[in-house]
Amino acid sequence: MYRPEHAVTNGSELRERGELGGVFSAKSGRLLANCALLLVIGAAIAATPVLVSDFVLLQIVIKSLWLGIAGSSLAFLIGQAGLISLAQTAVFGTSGYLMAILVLEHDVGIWVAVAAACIAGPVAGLIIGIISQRSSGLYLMMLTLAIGVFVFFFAQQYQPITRGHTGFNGFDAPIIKGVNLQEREPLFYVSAIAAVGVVILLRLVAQSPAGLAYRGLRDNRKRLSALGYSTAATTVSAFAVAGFSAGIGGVLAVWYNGAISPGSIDIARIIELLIVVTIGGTIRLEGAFLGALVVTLLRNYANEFTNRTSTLVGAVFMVIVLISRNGLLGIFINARTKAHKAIKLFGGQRLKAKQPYPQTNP
Amino acid sequence: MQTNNFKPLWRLVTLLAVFCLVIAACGNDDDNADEPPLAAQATTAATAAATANVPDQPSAPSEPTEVPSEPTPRTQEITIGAISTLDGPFAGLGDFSMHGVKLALMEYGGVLDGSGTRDGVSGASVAGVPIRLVIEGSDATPDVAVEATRKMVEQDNADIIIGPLSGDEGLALKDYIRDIPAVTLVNGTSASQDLTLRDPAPNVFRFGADGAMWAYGVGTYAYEGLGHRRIATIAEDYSYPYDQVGAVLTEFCAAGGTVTDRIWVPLGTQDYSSFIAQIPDDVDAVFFAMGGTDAINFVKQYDDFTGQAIPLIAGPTAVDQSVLTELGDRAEGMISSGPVVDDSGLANFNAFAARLDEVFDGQTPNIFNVYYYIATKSALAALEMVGGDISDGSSAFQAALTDLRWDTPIGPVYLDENRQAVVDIYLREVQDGAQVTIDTLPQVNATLGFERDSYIAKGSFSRNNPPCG
Repeated sequence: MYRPEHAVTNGSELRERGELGGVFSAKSGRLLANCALLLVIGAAIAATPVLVSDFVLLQIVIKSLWLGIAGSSLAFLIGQAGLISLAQTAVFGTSGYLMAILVLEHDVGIWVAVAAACIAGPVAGLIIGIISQRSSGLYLMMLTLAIGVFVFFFAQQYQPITRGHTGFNGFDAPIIKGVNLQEREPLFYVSAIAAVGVVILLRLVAQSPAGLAYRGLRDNRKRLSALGYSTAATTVSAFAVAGFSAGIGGVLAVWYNGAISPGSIDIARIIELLIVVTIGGTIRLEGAFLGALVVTLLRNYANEFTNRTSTLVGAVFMVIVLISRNGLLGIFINARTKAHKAIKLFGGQRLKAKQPYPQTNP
Repeated sequence: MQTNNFKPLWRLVTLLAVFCLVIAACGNDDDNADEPPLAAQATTAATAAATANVPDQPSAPSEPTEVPSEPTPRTQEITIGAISTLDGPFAGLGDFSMHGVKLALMEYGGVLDGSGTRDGVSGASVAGVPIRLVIEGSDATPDVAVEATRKMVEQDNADIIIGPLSGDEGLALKDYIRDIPAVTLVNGTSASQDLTLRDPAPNVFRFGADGAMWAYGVGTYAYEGLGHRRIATIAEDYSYPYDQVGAVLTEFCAAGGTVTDRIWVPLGTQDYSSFIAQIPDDVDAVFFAMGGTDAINFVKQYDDFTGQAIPLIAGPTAVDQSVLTELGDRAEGMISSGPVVDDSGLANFNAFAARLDEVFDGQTPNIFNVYYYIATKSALAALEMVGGDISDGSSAFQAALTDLRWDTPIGPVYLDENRQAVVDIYLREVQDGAQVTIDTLPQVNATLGFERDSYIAKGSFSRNNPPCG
């Protein structure tokens, strides 16, 4: 049976890495730590617009945020449920297109359209889940790839609804109480809050009983069904949950681009999302944002020293995959583990439970 | 996973391979033999290069080239950002377009930095103001085109944008550039009608024709010259072919002809058999509008299946010089209209072709290098008219662009009230692998000679517009 590489990590290892640690853990120490973490993140968000230039804020930071939100849906599916889906751009596109169509074709109020788009995400995920509930591994990839490409061609060719190849231009982001989201700082804050919200929500799901069932799906389907779970229902619900964040990503992408066209969800974008998640690492959801940042930086700045940007992105991808099983995030986590070992060596207090087995592989 | 003994070795080998890839990615075409002399040239004084280039500048006689030398050369510099499709399906066309941009800058004293597509041109100046070139690429999607342009405007402080290449990129850039009035967009080959025809932006200029104008004259010629009464059309399913089919049918149906079928194929189709089977037997001709590899694949398969029993009439880019060599004998005798012919005999065209071949070995004129050249040269000529001064938010420069008239390599050009060029279009036939003129159609405008208001009111061309018998 096919399992993604990182599936070999077991429960105690995960606990060490904090994946099981709750946002609202019973231990008050943990709660305090989480509150402190949120404060630090909040401070970082507040400081970012001051620290970076307008251009970097828009084209690097905001882009990384919405790409990361879309990527986190894939990171959730792969990391939590072991479902490698290539249909997340389909969900992303469904939400983005729905919002654009409602506003630009049917003169629906922007907030109604946004709400519809946010609902469309999980619904699209649900449909994709229903279609692909019986497959896993390579077959799941092929099936979801077909769905992703289908949605691309639908957007490209079904003119009466999607305006074909041209798509929708001139979409204006909404204005909230005089704050224009077409401007960079407000759009950044909204994107950042959405990113934090999506990560917290997905982690809450991961810690719920449903999250355990997803992990069962990833680690051993047969045992999961032996325990009385329906693998089909588990798969479908995992896709629906992931669809939520992909949908949010789609909404923000349309605000950012002011447009959506089949080019936003073509096969190159499907692969890019996979690269984002693989570079960042799927062991934690935050990896998607890290991966999005790296890819965005490369796409923007690599051409200053090379004529072959795509080759360079591919090479960086290969290097990261080769040296770290869990992407960039894996490198950091590994470094932290080594630091803990060093502390122990110098007689420091053990911070964590015993290693289940020596880690030979970074 | 248990074969740990072999792992370090394999990992080493793979890392080495990846390392080589990175080196390959970061090397800038060092293997090209052309580069050392070019790099050496770059070190010579720009003025020397400028004087050397003056005899090669026979074009643009109608513009005031004798700009009085500025008494106080400003130290500021003007940045031109060129965008074309350097990745993705149209990457080859992107190379052509950059040739045009660089050739224009070299006429103003520029020297090539290298032979790679992204290598710029240094040393160019207009009225004593140095011109800097930055190059960005897109993959023909609007999202990427806007990001690349935004980078040139905000990071590189580009004052003038040359490009983009494809139609929908142009529409997206129009919306973006409209909000930054001090930046001027001079279109490359984006042929979407609505870049200028409907809801134009004041800082967007197009010195070339749009897709409908390119196809001007074919419909009338097919009816009157060739005696066709019923035709079918087969074209790629997006806005640019809609414009071409729309223009042909507008004329053809106005003359009295009818269209039996309009077949739309997805962009990038490989197998055309099912579409070719839909073409009825009783039509006099088939008009096809495609580009690049699509045109090559279609013509090959149409030729194999039917032996061209029903003659083909081509769209402007379907038999452009950039694909003509690939089509070979299959394209012989095809009728089309378009902006570029090889036998126009215009002095400017011959000079351009000679210069192109000299600088970029073996290249011949096609829509892309000619149009990007015209766009860049127009911008430079207008800059010269305002003495290189765009400190007033480019308003004098944009006014100069609006009034600019000059004789391009493909004929005289001037702009209408929407800053859309009025140009000569050629009715042409493929003979011995070259585009030979049947007729020159002078002064074709954006409404194809029809009454402006009613033409615009008919709406954008689409799958079913214009309605026709």
